[in-house]
Amino acid sequence: MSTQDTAILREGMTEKAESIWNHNFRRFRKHTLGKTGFAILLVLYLSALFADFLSPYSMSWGDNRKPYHSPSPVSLLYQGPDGTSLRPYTYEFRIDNVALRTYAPVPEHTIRAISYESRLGVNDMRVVATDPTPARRRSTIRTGVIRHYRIAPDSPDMQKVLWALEELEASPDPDARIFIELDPAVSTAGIENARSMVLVKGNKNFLSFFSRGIPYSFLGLFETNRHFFGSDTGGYFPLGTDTGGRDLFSRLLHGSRISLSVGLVGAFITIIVGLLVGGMAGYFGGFIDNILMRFSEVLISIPSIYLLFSLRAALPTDLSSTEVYMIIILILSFLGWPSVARVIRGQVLSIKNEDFILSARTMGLSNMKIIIRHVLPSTLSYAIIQTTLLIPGYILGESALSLLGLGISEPQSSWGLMLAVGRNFRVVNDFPFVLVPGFFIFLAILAWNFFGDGIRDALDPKSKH
Amino acid sequence: MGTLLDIQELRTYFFLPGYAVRAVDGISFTVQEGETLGIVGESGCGKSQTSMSIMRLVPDPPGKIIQGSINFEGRDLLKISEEEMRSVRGNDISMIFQEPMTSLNPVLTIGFQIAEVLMLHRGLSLLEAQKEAASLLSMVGISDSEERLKEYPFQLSGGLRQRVMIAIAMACQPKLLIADEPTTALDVTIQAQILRLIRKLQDERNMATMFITHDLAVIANFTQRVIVMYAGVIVEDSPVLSLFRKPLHPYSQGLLGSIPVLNEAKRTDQGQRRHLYTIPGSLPDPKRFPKGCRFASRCPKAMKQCWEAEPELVEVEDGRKVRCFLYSPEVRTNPTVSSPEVLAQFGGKTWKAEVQRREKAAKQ
Repeated sequence: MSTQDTAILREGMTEKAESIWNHNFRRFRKHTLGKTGFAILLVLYLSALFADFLSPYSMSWGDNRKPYHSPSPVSLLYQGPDGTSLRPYTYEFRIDNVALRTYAPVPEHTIRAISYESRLGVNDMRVVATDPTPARRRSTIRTGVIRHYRIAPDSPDMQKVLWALEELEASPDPDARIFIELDPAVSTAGIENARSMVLVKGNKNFLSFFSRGIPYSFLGLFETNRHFFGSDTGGYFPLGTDTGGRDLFSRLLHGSRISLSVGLVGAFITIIVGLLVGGMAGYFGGFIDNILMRFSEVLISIPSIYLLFSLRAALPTDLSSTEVYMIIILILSFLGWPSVARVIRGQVLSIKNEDFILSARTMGLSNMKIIIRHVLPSTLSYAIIQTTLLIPGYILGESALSLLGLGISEPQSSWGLMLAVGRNFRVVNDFPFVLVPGFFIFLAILAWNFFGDGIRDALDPKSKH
Repeated sequence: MGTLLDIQELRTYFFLPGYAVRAVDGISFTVQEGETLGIVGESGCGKSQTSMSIMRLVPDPPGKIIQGSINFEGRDLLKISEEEMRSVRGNDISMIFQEPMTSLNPVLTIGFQIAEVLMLHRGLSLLEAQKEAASLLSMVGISDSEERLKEYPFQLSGGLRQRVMIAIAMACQPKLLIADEPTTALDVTIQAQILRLIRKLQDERNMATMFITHDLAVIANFTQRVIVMYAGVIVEDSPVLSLFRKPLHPYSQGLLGSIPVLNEAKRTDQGQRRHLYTIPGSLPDPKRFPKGCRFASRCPKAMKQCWEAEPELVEVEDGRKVRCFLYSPEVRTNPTVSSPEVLAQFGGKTWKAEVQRREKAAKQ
């Protein structure tokens, strides 16, 4: 007899039953909205994880000559000396009306000197010579390079730059560029740092994948300066810039790390606390139940948004961003656990009268073991559903705190903090693109709710899905 | 064969607002090593609370053991700490319940549930415990034990679940197994399998068993001694054969008489239609037991003194104790009261075949 036949003949069973989790997973896959929500969340959380790589700039880098730069228009086809080709580019813009902060592309004869940074935390050089005559452009570039690199006007490095500039001016290609390697800078400690720059002719920034940009540490594994997309010569802002000329898209991705993880970690802590408190209150009953439940009722009865603000205001403000992050999570969890604990308590009250709890007691298990191993696992499906439905509230809570200046502070980024400029009506009216984080908050919350719905329908045995 | 469990004057009351329910009201009995004891009685007579008291798992509040001693291997279970009591539960004394459907945790695999008790009392690691659990499952007659360990209770049938419960109860080789209506929720063929399994294990391990049931067939087949309980007290304590041959207490007689018998004549000799015997009335209100015998209001042979004083549990024959005035010396010598032989007509017919079978077996 084959093994399959023996399996079929097993007592009380005809086939291999699917496990509970397989069953739930199959039900979840039938839930379209839930799947959509899950897909959106997957994209959001993955881009938060790879924010450094996906964003064209770093979180805090900004070009202070470009505040409220609107989203860069991208042209796909490039008409060069060799005819039309598919080579996406965007123009280099500069402010043409200081009062209204309107931007216009720089003229075609512009020459730019842009440094290639090799280290983190070094200010970069962006000299834009828009002057009409070559001599004055030469003078602007020369002054800028000397000032940035602090090199002597008659040094061999400077000579190299000037020869390259002459060559560039003479080039027939309107978008020519020349890469220049300068002598490394030697610090007082004797450490050599490579210095290099590029001279760019014309007013176009060509876009590419895996472009060279600001160096960063990829997931803490290795240092690299490759970004997923962007322009080697900068000047490309997919969603515009904020008041400091910082790229909104880069800040959005970096901010999502905080905004999205606050909900996840906060809900996790809330559920753990809620399970333990509710489990103990329900299981032991009597005095313990009274104390724990009255305390949680007191917390519930205070309007949560005021409690949130007063708790945050009561704590010190001169904290590092990590400490602030921790505090926000703790405050949000502190506000959230009572409602979870109450429902868990109700469930435990009914579960503790089940026969299997009695039989666990006749096995000699201690109360704590019974609560953790036998009572709480039965409430797991509720806990999972509740977690997914708590997260949106926590994302909003973090945003509210940061919006009012009680949460994450500059130069860190979070969605609420980015929205804080929205408090100024003029800014919103003139530069509506600064509200983009609001859309992402909306998207994340919607996705979590869809996902939560899907999970609930999958885990609820009474649902028809 | 020494005494394993010795219960003296055990009283478990439930204190509710305004009154107390006397669920167990002064019970004394002993269980010998390797003995099989049956406890019968109708619902609410205190059978289950007796077993809960032995395990010290009476829900408190409102329940409380207010008096008595439970000596298990020389220790008074009512005096040891909760910690020590936990090491007795599941290790020295284990229990199986009526409802195999709900007695297993639905969200844990049966492998883990068996392993849990092994890890707790025998200090095994999870891996060792799982291995042990597999051999326990094959011991209780479940094939493919390795595979079954990974399954959840809902994947098993009722009989299989009860086998798993037995495996859990047997895991630490207890000296006493309390089976609280172990077969009530199972169908008849499975019942027989489970009972045979319990008896086999009991023989192998010299384990004492307390069968708590209201199924007299189980009692007749599987026990050596029977305790009949009524309204919180023991009314009769007797070897099983003597009980079925000649029940002494009117309640025992009624209990045995109220069992339908196949092939019995539909009409009596007088031509009247024969009805199945039932005990008239119902259990007295446990809040206010009557002053005298608790069975007096339902007893067909109640006398005046039954309403005035409560009878004592007295030994009337060798190894038989009964709580009834009919067997007090003054009543026995009074010829106006029915003799025990006449009383036996109330019941025992059902068990004639069984009695005869056992007598035959004993002769061989």
